[in-house]
Amino acid sequence: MSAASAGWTLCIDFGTAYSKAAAAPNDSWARFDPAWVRPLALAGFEGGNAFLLPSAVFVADEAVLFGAAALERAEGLARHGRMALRSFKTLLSVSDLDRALKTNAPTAIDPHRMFTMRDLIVLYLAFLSAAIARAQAADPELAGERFANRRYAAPAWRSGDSAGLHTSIVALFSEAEALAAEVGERLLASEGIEIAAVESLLSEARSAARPLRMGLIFEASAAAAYTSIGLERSAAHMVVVDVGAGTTDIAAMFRSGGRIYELPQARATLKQAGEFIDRVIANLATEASGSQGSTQKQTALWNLLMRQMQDIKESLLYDGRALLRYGSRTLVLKWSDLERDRDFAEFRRNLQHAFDHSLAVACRHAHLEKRSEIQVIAVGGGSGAPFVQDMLHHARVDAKRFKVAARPATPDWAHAEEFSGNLAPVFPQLAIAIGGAIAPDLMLAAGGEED
Amino acid sequence: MMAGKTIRRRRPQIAGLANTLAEASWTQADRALAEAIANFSELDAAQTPAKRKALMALVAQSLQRAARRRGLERIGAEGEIAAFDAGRHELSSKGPRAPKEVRILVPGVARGGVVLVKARVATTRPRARA
Repeated sequence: MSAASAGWTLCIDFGTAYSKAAAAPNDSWARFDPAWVRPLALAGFEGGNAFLLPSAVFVADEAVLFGAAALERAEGLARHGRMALRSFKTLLSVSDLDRALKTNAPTAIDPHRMFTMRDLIVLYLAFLSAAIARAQAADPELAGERFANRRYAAPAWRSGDSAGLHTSIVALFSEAEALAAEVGERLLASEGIEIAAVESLLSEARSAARPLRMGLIFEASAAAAYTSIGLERSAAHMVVVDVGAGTTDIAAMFRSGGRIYELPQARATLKQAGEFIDRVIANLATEASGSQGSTQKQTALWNLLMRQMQDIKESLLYDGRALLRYGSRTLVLKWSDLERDRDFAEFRRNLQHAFDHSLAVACRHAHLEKRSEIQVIAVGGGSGAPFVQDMLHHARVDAKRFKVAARPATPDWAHAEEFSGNLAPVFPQLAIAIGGAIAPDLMLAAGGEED
Repeated sequence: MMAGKTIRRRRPQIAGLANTLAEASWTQADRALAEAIANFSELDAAQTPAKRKALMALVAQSLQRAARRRGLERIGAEGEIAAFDAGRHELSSKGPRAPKEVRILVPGVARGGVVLVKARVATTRPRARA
């Protein structure tokens, strides 16, 4: 008998750059034990970060490639104007999803003009499904178990009706499951799937697809779950700031009787986020380089900056400065340069304004509920940035009436002894998948038991 | 769904998972360490003090990144006053009794709650009475 005889819940986090997945026993919310949280090694054990599966599909001349192989081939052919399909997450959150799925992929992605966006997403999801099966088989606690509950995490607000898109997305997963059942581990091979076979495989998958029970959990709810689990007396109100790649999203949540409700009036989305900060930094670095040379030189510098941007941004935000080797020179970028930048200053003002607004909505609701404590937390790639943490720690509220508790981006339980200090460093990347796996069904936005 | 009654008869097998997690953080730290070593290798050949200074700054930057990616955290900040904790603080000069308060001279380093290097601290001077 399994140690977790209530069965397992699987949550997939379909990230912009990487997909992640985690499993947890079905009753984790009621009986939480960090040792039973199982992030899945989707990328296998051949070196690299085993938990991050690149979200990429590349249509080559002879085959459709997935994940790391897709990225590698796309990089080699970038100068020929070829690219991998990467923006699944953006595509899946557009308001008219069915129409978007029917469109053909651009020629830079599919020069054969064979595939619709739907086809490519189904193929990627089949690859993801095969990666989940491999990771499950390799985990001694999960091997041979059945995921009684399956979920995926999605942002709540980009299209305004994420829950409304749920049926279409589950249909994609359902076809992908059928395709993965047919093709199996071949999907994981670096040579990919032969182009000649793909069309018939997709067609067969459409016929073989069976109804699938799958839940949708909003990313903010997943964050609320991993933040407040095990803290029975934590505040019922929470403001979640998600600094993602493309957008910064702020939401206020209210927990009542095991269920989490969103306070829609508090919702705010900024178009400035990680990629926006990248551009600001790249412009500062270009200025610092005094690069007035040829277009070729400027392009080379820009490409260098984009390749190293995660490192540059990390040092700039956490150490206060970043050094970058550029030819025989060392460019120095300082946090104070970024602070002085007009676009970045405007982003910070907008972020502060949106956070203040969401917090005010949460406070008003808390007052009506006769509560006085609000939790605030940042999630996503930029969650640990000191300027974001400062904003949370210096929240502007009426201190006589409300107490604001800033929760750490990595919860205390991620430091549990069992992990020997190894979960915390990678937790931010796995956070949403883990939160989605441990949350109770009551927190689902769609596809839960009561649907 | 809250299916059936859960019986957790044993502790889960976690060593393999912890190793894979460690490997993941090492993957992210390794590149930064490699950069540190590459820059360090250039130090001997550096012709000018300015070049050496820039290389040392690059080495320091890479080490900071590697440390962050492995989850290393500083214990205290230089100049900070803290309650003395023999498990986390190393007194620069020992007196007959353990002090109540100390000033951090050099921050220590911890990982996952385990102290790897204690912070070097000095006893604070007693405050003058008003």
